[in-house]
Amino acid sequence: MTEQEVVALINSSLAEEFELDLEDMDADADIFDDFGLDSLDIVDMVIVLESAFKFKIREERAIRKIRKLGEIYTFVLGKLNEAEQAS
Amino acid sequence: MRYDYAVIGGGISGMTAALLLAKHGRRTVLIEQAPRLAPLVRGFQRDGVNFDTGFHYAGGLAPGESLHLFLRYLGLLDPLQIKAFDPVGFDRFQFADGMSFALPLGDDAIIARLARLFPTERVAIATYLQRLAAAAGTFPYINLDRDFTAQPTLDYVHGPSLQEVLDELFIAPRLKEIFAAHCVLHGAPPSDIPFALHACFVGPYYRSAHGFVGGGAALVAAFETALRAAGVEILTGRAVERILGDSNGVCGVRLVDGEEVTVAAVIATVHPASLVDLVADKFFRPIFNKRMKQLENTTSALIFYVACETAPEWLLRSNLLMVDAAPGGMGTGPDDGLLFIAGAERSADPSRCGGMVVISPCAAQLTARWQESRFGGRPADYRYFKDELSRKLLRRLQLFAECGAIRSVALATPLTLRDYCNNPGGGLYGVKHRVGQYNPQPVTRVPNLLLAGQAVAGPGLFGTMLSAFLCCGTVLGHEQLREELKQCS
Repeated sequence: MTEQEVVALINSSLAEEFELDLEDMDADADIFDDFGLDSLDIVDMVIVLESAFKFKIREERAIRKIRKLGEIYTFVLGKLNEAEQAS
Repeated sequence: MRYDYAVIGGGISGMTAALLLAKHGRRTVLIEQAPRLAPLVRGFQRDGVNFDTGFHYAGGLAPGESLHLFLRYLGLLDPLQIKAFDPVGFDRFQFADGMSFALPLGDDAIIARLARLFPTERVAIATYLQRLAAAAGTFPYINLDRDFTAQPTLDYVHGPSLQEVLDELFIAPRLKEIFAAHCVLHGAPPSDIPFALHACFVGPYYRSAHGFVGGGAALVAAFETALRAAGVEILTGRAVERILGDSNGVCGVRLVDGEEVTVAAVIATVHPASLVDLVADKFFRPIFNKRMKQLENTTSALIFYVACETAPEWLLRSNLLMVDAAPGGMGTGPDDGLLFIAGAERSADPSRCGGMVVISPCAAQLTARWQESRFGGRPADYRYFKDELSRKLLRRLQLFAECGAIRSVALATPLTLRDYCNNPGGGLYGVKHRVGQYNPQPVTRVPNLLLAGQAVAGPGLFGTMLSAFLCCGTVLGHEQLREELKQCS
């Protein structure tokens, strides 16, 4: 998966499951202020990402620090890199 | 009439939540669709025997322990007569190969008893019991001194599972089977249940085991008295059809008879899959609705109620676990797998045993053929199937010869659990707690819609009461509730 494909999959999955506008999916967007998510939505965000990328997210503390959509890109790309190096 | 809170569901979690709120001055209405509160825990009486359907025994009921403290705090203890299970064998195990032994209460006694059977694993047994206590101690309502924010709330979802801990510590498969057999108390096999949750909900049974004289019915009666004294309005025989409001907040509930009750907040204790059907489309996000609908349920079960001519009296102070090659510690149906057997009191003399409640875990698929049928309207071939199941279970019970003549009184199937307990999926306990599954939390994104019930915290009397504390603590203040609990201890 290229970086663009990963970003596109994150955007489309979150847009669908959280009823967001694809056009607003910008790396600088604040997931709380701009998308209206709250801390309770984090669990569902984890589930969306887990099912889109078929990995398990155990890094609850890291996930809870995320504020910008771009940080989700970085987090997911990091996980995919880790998995690639491990295999 | 306007209330501060409507609590939907009059089971243990709903009754506990309503009591907690009323105790703190909130005007509360408790709504239950069955004709009386807590039909599951109340049990039923037939042929001169009191059969418990929802409550059989509990850990944590010794003075100073968590469940005892919850009951004392809510003023439920005084009318209840707590009876201790047999300290030298609260659970008796009988294996298909003829091995049998009694599991005593208390870490030291358990270590001594099991080390006689598995001498090379003495240290591992002690380590296992220590780990159970340590894991349970990380939960803030179990350990009242524990910092609430010390641990990520969903840490346990990542495991390890009970099976991983058993495999790490023990060599003898039989020893693993013994500890895994208690998975029947939460309905998740050892490979699924997070060890930390097993520690919370099963661990206390290794220290103390108690029942109530009069069983679940006595517990419900104590709740009813306390609810009335606290001024909780109780509506029974009234089902909620809709939670009113939108994603910004709820404003009331509509009952199936059309009446609308205006409330400032709602606590729902229903199965999470049913919650989604009670609200309008845009209440929750699509992913939340999907998650609630897709939550995996616990194992289902056949629950067989039998009256006995000469039931052994020890069954009122010990359970019998017949373990027959149950792969993964959970049963597979009437032919093999685990049977959990509890005694049933005679109605006229609760000190005497008049029958047995036999729980045989099985898959909900066992009765899938009749899933379109509803309670009260099952076809004839379903009844034939049930008769055949009863015969099989009776045959297995004959192996346990102390009972004299046994007569079948009733048999609950996965469909009974689904329809009678409002439990889509027919799970013995409802939603499963398992590694990798995110169950709902007490708070939702709708600010005044809260959740309690076994799916939120855990099964059994302790799990459901705990869910109400976790839920109500979010509005009453966890530190205040914990302080009040401490003062009561």
